[in-house]
Amino acid sequence: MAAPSDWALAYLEQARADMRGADLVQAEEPSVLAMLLQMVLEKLGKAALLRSGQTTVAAATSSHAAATRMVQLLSNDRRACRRLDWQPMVLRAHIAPIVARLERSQPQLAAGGPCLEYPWEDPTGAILWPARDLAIAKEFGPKRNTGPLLRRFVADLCARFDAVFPS
Amino acid sequence: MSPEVVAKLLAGEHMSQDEGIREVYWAPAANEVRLIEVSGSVGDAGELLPFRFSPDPPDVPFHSVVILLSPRDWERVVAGDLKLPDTFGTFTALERIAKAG
Repeated sequence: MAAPSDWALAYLEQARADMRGADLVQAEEPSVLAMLLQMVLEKLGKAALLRSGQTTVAAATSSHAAATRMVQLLSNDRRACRRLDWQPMVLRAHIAPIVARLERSQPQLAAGGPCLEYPWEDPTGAILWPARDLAIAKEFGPKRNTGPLLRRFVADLCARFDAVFPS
Repeated sequence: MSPEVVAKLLAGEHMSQDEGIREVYWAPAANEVRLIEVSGSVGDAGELLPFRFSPDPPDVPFHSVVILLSPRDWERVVAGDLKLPDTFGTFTALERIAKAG
C-alpha cells in the first residue's frame, strides 16, 4: 500500500501541473483561471495534510477545507511567510478570503448552486454558467487585481512548498 | 531549548497575528511541537486538519504541527465527537499554554 508521503508527492506534482495550465490561461478566461487556481490550492492543501504525518490518506484526500485552513495557518505564521516571501497581513487580508470563497465554489460544496465548473439553475428557473454569471470568476478578469495576486501567491507556494511543509 | 518553550514562543507569535485565537493547547512530545489553536477567526470545518511546518533554527529547532480550530469544532473535540490524532494523545493530556485576555 502506498504511503501518505507518496500520495503527498503526487498531489504536489499534479498541483504544479495544474499551475502551469493556469499560467497558460492567465486572464483570457477568468472563470477557467479561477477554477484552475482553486484546483491547485486544493491539491496543495491535501499534499500538506498528507505530509503532516497526523492524518490518514482517506481523511486528507476527502477534505474540502484543506486549502482554506492551510492559508489561514500560513497567515498566522510569520516564519512560514518569510520562506514564501509574503507578508502575513497580505495573506490574511487579501489571499485567505478569496481562497475561502473559491473553496466554497467547488461543485462538491456548492450543492447545486453557483459553482466554478458547471451550470446551475437560479431561483427563477434561469440556467446560469460560471463564465458568464459566477461573481467570483469576474474578479479574475484582466482589469482586476485578484487574479494576478492569487496567481503569484499560488505560484510561490508551488515553488517553495517543500521549504514550508517538509517531506 | 525545550519543546515546551518553543511551543509557548509559537503560540505567542500566532496569537499576535490572529487576534481571534482564544486558547492554545500543547500536546507534549520530545522531538516535535504539537499545538491546537482555537480561533474565532476561522469557520467550522467539522474535521481536524493538522499541518506540519519546518523548523526555523535557532529559535524553533523542532518541526511544529498545528491544528487550527473554530470554537465549535473545539467543543466537538472536548465532547469526543472529533478525535485528535493519535500522536496528540487524549484531550485530557493537553496542556493549555496560552489564553487571550
